[in-house]
Amino acid sequence: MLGADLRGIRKYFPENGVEALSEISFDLHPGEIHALVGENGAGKSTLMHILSGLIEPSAGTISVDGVERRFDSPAAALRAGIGLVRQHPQTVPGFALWEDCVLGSEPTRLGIIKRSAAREAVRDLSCRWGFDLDPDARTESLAVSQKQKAAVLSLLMRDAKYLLLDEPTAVLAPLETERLFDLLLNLKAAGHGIVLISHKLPETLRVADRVTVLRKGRLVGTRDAAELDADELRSMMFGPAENKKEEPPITMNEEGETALSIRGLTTRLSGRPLLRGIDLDLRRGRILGVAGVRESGLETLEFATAGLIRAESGSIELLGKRIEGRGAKAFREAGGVYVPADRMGIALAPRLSINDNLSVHPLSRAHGFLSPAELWTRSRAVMEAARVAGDPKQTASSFSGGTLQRLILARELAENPDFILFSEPGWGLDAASRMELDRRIKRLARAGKAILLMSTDLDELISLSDSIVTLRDGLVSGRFARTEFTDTEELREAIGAAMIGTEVCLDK
Amino acid sequence: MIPSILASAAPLILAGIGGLLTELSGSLGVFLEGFMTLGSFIAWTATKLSGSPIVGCSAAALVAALIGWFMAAFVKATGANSFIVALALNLAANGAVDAVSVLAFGTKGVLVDPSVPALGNAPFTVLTALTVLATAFVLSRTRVGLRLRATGRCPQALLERGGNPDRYKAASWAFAAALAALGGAALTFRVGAYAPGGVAGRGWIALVIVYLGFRNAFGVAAAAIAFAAAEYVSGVAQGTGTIPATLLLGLPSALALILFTVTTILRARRSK
Amino acid sequence: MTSERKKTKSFAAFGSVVALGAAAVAAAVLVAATASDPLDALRAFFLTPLGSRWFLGNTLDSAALLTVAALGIVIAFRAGTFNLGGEGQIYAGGLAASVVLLSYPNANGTIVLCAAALAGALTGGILAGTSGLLKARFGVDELISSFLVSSAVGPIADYLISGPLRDSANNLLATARFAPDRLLPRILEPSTLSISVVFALILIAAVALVLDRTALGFRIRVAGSSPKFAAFAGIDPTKYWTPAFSLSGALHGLAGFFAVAGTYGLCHRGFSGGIGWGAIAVALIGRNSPIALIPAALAYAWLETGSETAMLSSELSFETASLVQAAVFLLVTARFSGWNLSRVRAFLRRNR
Repeated sequence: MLGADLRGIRKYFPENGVEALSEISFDLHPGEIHALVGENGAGKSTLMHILSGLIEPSAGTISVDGVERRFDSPAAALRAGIGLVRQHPQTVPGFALWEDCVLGSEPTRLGIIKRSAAREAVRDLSCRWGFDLDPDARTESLAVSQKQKAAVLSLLMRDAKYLLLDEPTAVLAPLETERLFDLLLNLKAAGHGIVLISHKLPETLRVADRVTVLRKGRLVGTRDAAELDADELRSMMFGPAENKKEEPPITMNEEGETALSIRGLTTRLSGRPLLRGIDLDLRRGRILGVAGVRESGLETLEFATAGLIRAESGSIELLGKRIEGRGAKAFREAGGVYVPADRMGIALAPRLSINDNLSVHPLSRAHGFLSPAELWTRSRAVMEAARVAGDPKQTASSFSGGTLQRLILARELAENPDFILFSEPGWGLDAASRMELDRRIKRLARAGKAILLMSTDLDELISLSDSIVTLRDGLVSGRFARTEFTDTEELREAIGAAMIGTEVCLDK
Repeated sequence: MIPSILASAAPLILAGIGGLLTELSGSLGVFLEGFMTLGSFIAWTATKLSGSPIVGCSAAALVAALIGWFMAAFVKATGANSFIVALALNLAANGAVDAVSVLAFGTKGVLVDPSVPALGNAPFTVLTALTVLATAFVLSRTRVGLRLRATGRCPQALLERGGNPDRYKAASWAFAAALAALGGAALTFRVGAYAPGGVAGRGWIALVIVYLGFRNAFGVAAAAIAFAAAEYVSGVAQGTGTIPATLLLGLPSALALILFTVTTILRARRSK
Repeated sequence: MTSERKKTKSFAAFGSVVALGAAAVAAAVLVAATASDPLDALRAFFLTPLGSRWFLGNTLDSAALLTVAALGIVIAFRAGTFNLGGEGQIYAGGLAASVVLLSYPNANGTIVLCAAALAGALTGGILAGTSGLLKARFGVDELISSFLVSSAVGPIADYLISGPLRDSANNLLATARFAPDRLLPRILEPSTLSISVVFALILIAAVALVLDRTALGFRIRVAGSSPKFAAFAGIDPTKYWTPAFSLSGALHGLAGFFAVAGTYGLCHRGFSGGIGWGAIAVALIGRNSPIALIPAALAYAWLETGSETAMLSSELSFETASLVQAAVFLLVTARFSGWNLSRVRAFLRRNR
């Protein structure tokens, strides 16, 4: 019986007491595309990590082609022909593409790598699948879509039969997604079994043969894709009572004065241009969404606006004050707060206590002696505002991601800002938290705050923003006002085109 | 003059290559000083007991490799801080060598015995040269070298492609320990005696040399030779009595510090 | 919902106690195994340090020196740096203080003592500050640079003590003895315990106050946590490295002053041997908390004195300090970074 077969899989994490998966059965046939869907936290990634050997299940069995296996490492899964391609594939910096691809399955004679054989193999495979990758390219210079292809190439080089793709489309523009799906169909035709994790339902339904739905670690069901439509799928994912409703058309708030004005922002890193002259305006009471794929300069713009990096030239004026190059302190003093995507890395210090983390803003301005009682009261107040229970003395790392996001937001809002910079606010949040967050953001705008929303999630941007700008290659490639579009599909296409540029073909 | 400079560079190169391996694996081992001391002592003792320098050196390398591997396993198993564990080894090596020296030979001082000869320049110079060549080759041309470099730069990538970064880290520590021990053995056999304090900070200078040599086997060798040349010059100055001997002991560290600073600055400038 | 894991201070302290206990057992075993009369050696090991005024005082004195230096280690740690040059900073600080104490023969003793303390602190501060500056300005790794500075300075100090500053009247490699009014008053004669122990306590209180109760201390904590978080908070970590490192060095230099003016009464070659490493051990045991340094230093000093006396009581004698330090380092860092029993079990299972 060919295929990968998971039965009765259970995964319990003792560190947080979370049962991530209960009694999951899942199978993958050769020559099929099997979609795995569910909201964030449903356990999709965990299941695939188990199948690819990154973690071990607490219970249950894995069989490949009829033989029961135990995967105690990715090496074991690879030997069984199963490989995982992550959303952001890890490549080794400083390696050439061919070195990165053959890593782990190097062609050798007596331990010595056969260089030309390796490079040729990479080039051949790349041609055969239409990747157009240069074996000698440096890994740092690859775009995410190319890294994904390199990861697939690496798996194909070691004759992986079963490819697991974890949310590959989240970091791709619509055109790149199309190309990826073409590739998947070709791979399927060649007999590979593919698992595709995605939260983009319409596209996924188009390519998948079967769909499995997980909800909160439990298996809801597996169906043939032909029998499903989007609504039924949504009801499987969220349950009949939680069906997502269509967003009512955006009503524009009263427009206030200019809050943020960026002119000619330009910067480079090691000679590579990241921003090439960005112009942006944002008024109070408005939500401006900024869309772009990861490498388009989105992150750089975000960090420069928040004061974490200094751009080479250009100006940033926030609420009447020029803050470019003057650091996060100037940003905050002008009335801005920043809710970053990288919560544990930027917005929090994992090893410091919650009390310390929540007190960071007033304390970085204060002088002299502290009153522990005052700080305590303040932390407690913030925790209450975020509806989080617990002891402020605990370290930040002992809380979950969703909780931390609420705490961070509460902490920032306690500063009474006039400008809020959000980056990927809904990332990692489940549907209910996401909807609540959306409502809050809209309320903040109604209250007259100016909001800059940077995100790679087009749905999030479209449902929240009054206007959207797109970044491509460090430049603003499109400006869209929400009110101009009644059809969100049309808007999505327009944004997608501006993000990637329809006249530029990535792979030829 | 040149053979003598090369010979005096040999211990530094061996330890430096060891340091290079640990640096490439992503967990710099600051234990080189300790293993050089340990190796110097074990080489002497084992040679005295067995009558053969080859046995002596092998014993030193083997014991060191075992300890080095065990330390890496300890770090992995307990989540300990690898710097502190390495520092612990430096301290333990000094203490243990002192203790065993007193217990077995009744003295903490220099150990001399006819069965432990001075071997002259050739054997260790040849060994060092072979080590450098072998390392350079392995690092750039073999599967092991590729995976080691991947371990230091992106262990997650290696893991996902079916490799085992922890094994390479442990192996790099074991090899580094063995090489440092051989460097210590070289010191013993240069004079045919074990001299406490004979290592004189070379283990730390070896770390600096890893960076001076731009993390490349030939660079490490070149930097070590340059150092040895500088030491030779200072030795000459010592002989002429212009600068007091005690002061000159501090010169290698001072020089290493200056060079370390300069290389760091240059590297930072280059990546701008 | 997830259950939150508790990481409280008492849990951490328990770990340190276990580590220290294990180190003590290891040292005791070593001592007993190599002594001619194991029982006698063990008695010497455990009881003598507290037995007589002489031993008790010396143990307390040793603890005081370790504490002052350990405070320096803690400050450096808090700011996210590692001061590895402690030995050299103590040595140079003590030497600088000695020079002052031997000068100005007509000046008032107390004033000269103060000046000497200042000299010691400044010397240590400048030595460490150099490493801090190199790190802040050029990104030079401070662990290696502080160690190199220390090893470069050591021979210079050795040379000065054995040569130009040596007291030709006696046979020691040391300076002349300081005049009686230039010594720190002794408590608990005939031991070497001086009022330095009082100063040590005052310094602990001061450092604890600054680190835990002031905005500056908070900012140091943030600077030492993660660079991205510090940037987010508008705090530039590089601005804190040099001052923190200098202060760390200054405390070590001050420890050197206490050693020469309190414990020894002169500056002999290599007097600082082992204090620097011991201070790191103490800081590790005390898990970076200034107040916890008190029990940590006492326990460590007792351990060190105990093993030395046990050594002396048998015919063979060798330095046990390094071995004790190594044991403490190993056992505490396993705790220091979060000992997880289940992880050890899993590791053992996998490698069976």
